[in-house]
Amino acid sequence: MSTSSVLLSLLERSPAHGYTLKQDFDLHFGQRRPLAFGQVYQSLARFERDGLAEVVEVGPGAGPERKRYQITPDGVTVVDRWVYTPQDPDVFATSSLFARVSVALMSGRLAESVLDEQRAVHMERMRALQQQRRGAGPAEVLSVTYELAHLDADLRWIEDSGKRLDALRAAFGGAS
Amino acid sequence: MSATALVEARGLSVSYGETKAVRSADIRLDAGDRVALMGASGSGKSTLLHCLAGVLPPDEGEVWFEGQRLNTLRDGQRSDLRLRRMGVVFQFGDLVPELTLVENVMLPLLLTGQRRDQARRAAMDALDALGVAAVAERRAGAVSGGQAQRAAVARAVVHEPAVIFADEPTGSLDTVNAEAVLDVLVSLATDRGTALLVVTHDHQVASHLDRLVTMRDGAILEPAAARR
Amino acid sequence: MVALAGAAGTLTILSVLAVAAADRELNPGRYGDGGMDRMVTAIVAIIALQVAGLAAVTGRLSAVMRARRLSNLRLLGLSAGRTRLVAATEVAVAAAAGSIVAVAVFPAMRPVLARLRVGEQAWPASALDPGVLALVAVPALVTAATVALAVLPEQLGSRQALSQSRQSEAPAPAWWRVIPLLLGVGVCLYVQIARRGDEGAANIMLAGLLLLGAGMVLVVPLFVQFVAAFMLRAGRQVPLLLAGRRLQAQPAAVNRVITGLLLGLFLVVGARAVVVAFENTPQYRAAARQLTEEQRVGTTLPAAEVDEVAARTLAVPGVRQVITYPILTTACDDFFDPHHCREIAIVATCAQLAAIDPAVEGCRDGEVMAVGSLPFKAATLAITWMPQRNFAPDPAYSITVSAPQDTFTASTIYGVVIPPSLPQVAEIASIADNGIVVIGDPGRDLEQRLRDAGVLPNAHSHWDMADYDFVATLRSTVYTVAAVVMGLGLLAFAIAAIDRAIARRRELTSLRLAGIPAHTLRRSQWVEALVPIAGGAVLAIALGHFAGATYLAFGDTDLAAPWEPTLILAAAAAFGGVLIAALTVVATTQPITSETIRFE
Repeated sequence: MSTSSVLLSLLERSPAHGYTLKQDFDLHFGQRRPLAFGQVYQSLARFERDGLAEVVEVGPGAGPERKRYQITPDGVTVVDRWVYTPQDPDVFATSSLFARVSVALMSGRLAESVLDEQRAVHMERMRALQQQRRGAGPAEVLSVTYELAHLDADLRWIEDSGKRLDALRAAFGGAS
Repeated sequence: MSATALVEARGLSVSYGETKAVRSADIRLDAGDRVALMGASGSGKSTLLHCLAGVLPPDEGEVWFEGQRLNTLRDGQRSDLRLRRMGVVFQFGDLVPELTLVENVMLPLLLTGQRRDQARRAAMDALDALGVAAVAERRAGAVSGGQAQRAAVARAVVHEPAVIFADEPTGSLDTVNAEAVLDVLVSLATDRGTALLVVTHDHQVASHLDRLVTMRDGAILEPAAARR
Repeated sequence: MVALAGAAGTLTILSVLAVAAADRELNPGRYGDGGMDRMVTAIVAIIALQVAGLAAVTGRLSAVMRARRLSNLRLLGLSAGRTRLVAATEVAVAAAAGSIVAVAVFPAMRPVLARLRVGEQAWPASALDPGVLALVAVPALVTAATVALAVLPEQLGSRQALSQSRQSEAPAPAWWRVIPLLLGVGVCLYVQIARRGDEGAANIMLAGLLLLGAGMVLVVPLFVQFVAAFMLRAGRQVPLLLAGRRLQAQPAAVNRVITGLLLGLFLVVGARAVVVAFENTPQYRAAARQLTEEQRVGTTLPAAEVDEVAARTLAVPGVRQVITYPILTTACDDFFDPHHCREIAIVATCAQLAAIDPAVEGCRDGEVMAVGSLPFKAATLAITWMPQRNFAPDPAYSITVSAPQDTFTASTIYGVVIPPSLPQVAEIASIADNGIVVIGDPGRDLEQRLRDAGVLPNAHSHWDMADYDFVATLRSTVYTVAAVVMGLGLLAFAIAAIDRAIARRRELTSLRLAGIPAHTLRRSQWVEALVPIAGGAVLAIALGHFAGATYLAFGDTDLAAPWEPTLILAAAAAFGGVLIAALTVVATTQPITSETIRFE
């Protein structure tokens, strides 16, 4: 997830101070880890430099928090492009999970255990997510169910691989 | 194991001709337990559930329910036990299509001798909790699959059973409807301390429940074996 | 299943036609006025209706199974039209195969049919030939009808219809459906009360009967709804709730099967009333007396032989009584119309007449009376009677009495009755020819018995037993048709009911798993199968009875519609309903085994 693109899109809703921007971000997207203030101000400074946002109001006192930013037409264009550009599907092509299973098979380690441990961890995480989903607002539901679906896909792969292990072991030629 | 278990099976085995569907399975459910029973198709999970619900007599082993040994009860007694103390949900709900939703939900209450108006009120409350009160007067055959499935859950919980057995209760539903149905099932179970045993092959469904029991080739895998 | 239905239908219709053909050959006299032809046509039509019902049920059932297979052909790229052609061909082949087997088997059926006795009538196997035309046309028509019913109009099997009717909230049948029936009842009541016998009334009655029949057909869905609603309101019990709701969602196909059955019952019960009209003709009643009470045969003898022959006759086994009575004839001259020459007069008292003919009514002693209508013109003042025809006019042996002015009724005697108390009558009577009436034990054999004993070779029964046999055949035919109608109708209903029951087997298993007791499900199945049959049969039989009563009330006859066939049919319908309900119960509520759960 591109944090700066999300920040820019939050700015599109209405002009905002860095502080409110961070609150907004944490509310809608920051369930996993809250955003650092530094990153917010860094992004805002870059938006201003690139002409994607501009300062519309400067409050009394010193420091970056007194500036209120507003998105520019260029900024809107950037948000547009970002929202409508599909995600690179390659993002799922690499994972330490299948690498670890492969190594276990090649080296004669217990691939079953790798799968079982991962299943247990995944299930634990899914239970937590379900718990979270039940009390969640709409944006949070989207992110939680997104993660649930991917964990579910992983688990399906874990089950399928569990059934294939014998054949795979023979193919890898590893000792079991 | 103590005698206070709600449902307990010891050394359960069931065969279909040559195939062993369940091999010496032990399982225990206490009040408030919420358990997912997973396994590949043909691993014996449905058969185990049917044994626990007293539908299917096991070839070997014992099933105890609230301190009664099911094997020693007559068919009628076991039916009665299911009617009063258990709730059962299936993949397709299997309501009576000609009855209205509320009538379907009223069935277990009427059969246990409740007055019609009382039964109706309780059934409407259950349907309301599941968000289908608006279609309560429509025939079960005429509502959507999700609505029918919710009504089926309502039928399984309306008489406040001690345990709910659900066999792929959301198998015919899309994820969103499945989530809604499971949420109600879980929250009802939580509020009333009802034990819940859900047979499923879907991890998302299983993730609604606290404990995972896995079956493979008719045998229950030890939690250790499932992990290690 | 289609083949089976085709075979059953073809065999039934061929049998009816064969019996009709044999009957026509054996009793050509009956077919004079086309009435018999109409009757045979009506019977074939009633039975064909049931065969059609059976064909429709089986045809559509198999259509569902076929549809699943054929949908694969569609996926492979076969056009809808071609697919339908394949379906039609399959049904046609099955139905035709069944029909052709039936035609082939039919000769073997003949001895069976020949053993069948309907009333006193039996038909030898050799005569039981429906004709080449029928042997070709019937299987062709049965096949064509099956194909038409199964494939062309609506590709809905009862299972599909069931699921469809389950999915949609069926609109309640319109209330106007009851109007024709009410009108029919009103018109028939009018006919019964007015008791008019003129042509206008006949038309009114016909309209009333038609309204009654059509009204019954129209009212069936409404009736089913009404019964269902009643069950839902009256019953707090779960079986009634289940059965009532299922009846409300009853697919139209099942209603049609029931309608066919009911129409058959209605016609049969009505027809039985028509037979009653025949049974109450004097000829039939007198003939029936021969078989149940006593036989009467008679002839005439010269005066000289009377005593001796009478004594010999009385000695014949089975003869109970012999009665003789003098018979005078008219003096036949130009003065009289030639017609009068054929008139006879019986010399007897009213008591004697009653012995000769038990049906004598209204006779008055001491008066010259006529039996039946007055044989002489009113202008005729006096008639001269003599002992024998062509008797030489002799005043000592002829009397002249005034012509009869009054009549009375009788069944076996006719002519004029002269009281023996009139002057001179005894002398003439002593040399007159005598009528002789022999009374014997009940049966048909008195004539033959006397002939075998060598007495009264010319004696003949007063009654033509053919009349009796005809009515008996008619009656038996009504019952036979009733049996066939009930059999085919119930069979079709059973097939439809069992199919629906099987279609909801999974639902029943899951209800059992949920703890709904087996006896609750069994009871609702009983109610569901029994109520339409029993209720419908009561409706049809009651209306048929009413229609029959209307027919009998027509024209001021004083006959009541018979209850015995009504009750017999009601009992048969009840029995059939119970049988079918039991079948469906067995078909649906097997104990739960691991296999049924797995199947589920």
